[in-house]
Amino acid sequence: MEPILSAQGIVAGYRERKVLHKVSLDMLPGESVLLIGPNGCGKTTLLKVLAGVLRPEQGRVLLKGTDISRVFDDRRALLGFGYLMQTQSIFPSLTVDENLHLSFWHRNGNFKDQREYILSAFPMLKPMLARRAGVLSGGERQALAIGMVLMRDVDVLLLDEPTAGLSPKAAATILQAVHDVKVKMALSTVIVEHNLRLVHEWVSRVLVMNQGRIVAEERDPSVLLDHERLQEYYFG
Amino acid sequence: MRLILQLLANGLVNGALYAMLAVGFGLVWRSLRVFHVAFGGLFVASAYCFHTLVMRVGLHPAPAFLGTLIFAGFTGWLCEIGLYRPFARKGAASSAVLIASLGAFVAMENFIALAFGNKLQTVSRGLARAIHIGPVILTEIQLLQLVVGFGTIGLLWVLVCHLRTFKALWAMGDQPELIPVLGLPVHKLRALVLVLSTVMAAVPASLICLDIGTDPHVGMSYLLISAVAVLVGGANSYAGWVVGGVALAVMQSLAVWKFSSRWMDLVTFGLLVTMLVFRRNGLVDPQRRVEEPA
Repeated sequence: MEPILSAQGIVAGYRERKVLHKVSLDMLPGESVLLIGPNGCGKTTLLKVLAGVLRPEQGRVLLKGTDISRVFDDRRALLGFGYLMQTQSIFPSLTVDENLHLSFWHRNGNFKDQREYILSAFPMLKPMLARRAGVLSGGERQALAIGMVLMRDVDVLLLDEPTAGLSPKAAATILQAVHDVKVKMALSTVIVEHNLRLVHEWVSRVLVMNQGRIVAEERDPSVLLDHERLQEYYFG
Repeated sequence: MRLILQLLANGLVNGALYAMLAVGFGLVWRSLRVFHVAFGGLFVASAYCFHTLVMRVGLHPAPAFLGTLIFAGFTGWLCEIGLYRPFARKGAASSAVLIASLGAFVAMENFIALAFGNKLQTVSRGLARAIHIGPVILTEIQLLQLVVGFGTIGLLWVLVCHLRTFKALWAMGDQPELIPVLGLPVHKLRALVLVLSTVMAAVPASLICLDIGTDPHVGMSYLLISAVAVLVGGANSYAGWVVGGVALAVMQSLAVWKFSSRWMDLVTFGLLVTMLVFRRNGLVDPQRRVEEPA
């Protein structure tokens, strides 16, 4: 099967500071890839490169076999990428409804139908539609942010710590909703997440990063519950 | 009492003009987070365009006004693609953009002075007809300024409230990084902000030119009025910009009652300092969470 998304020999960073060193990965359609690793190892940077927010210095990003390395992030979003940034992922001064409406910008079809679909996935947003997004709680904000990403036609979903700062209950609710949507829409996902116990049921492959490189690949997600093995990957 | 009513009416007329200027300046500040100093230069350029179309080309003020709006839209677009976009692409610091904007303002002011001279340029139109509204007397042009000013603000308000494009302009000021990630056309939206802003400057520029004329050096004064109105009203609220503009104009007008008009700047900056000390986020400040940035 042809990979839906490939990264080949990615070298990227911020000005003089190189963060990724020849990183390569292939993702098959419908796969859920979890990226783990210690803080600062390059997980977020890799997602930024895949989403087109950061241009790689070397290497290529291929979507369904087409090189999209030179495609800017706003055009890349139209190719089927949905990217949830670690922070700053909603517009606080607009209402929840306006946030969703803005995210529907390029999509054909009925906004209300799509909004209903998102509200069925994230029911906590339903009574909040007229509220300003800035006054939502952390869990509601994250639900809105993911909902906004899913308002468009998405094939590949890139999620950067979707449960950061949430209570265990809110985190479980969000991850369950993401998983349900992923299955229903047959999405391929790359997720960076530290709640390993919560997320391990829903991933098909685990990539371990350290110091800007992918240092291990595990096809059995139960490795996420093996602390000694993880410590070895992180510090060994 | 009659004098106070007259001064209030004059303040309202100026308030309509100041509110348009505040909206023009505020749009760029709120959406692009740029302290748009070049706004003063674009204001003067628009005033001179109107003057040229009326006095040199010989157009009636109405088509000249429309021509000025088109010219303003074009110069605003040029300002975005030639000045601000290169800085935005490089992720330049806001201080660098501010200096560049100041440079553009000075260049525009000097170019206009070179081309048209430093003298006051007026539009000859004879004596203005006075209109009595109860105890208040307004000239025809004042009435035109009032109606066009509040009409334009009202029209834009309706657009801001109901069109998704205008929501996107507002959203751009919240999280500029999120706009392209969601696939929104960031460059088109930026250009639209500058076009709208400059058109909002061109309306009062034409009306003021028609009333009292213009000279190449009035830009800084109107730039400061716009900036103070935005800061006083509240940088994050369209209604705040309008309230700030009207409040400033009314206070300036009432100051003339007790002091000389030479002290208007004292009123302007006194109001600014008072607001910054006692109500930092302006008169109209939406409810926000504690951790939410102002």
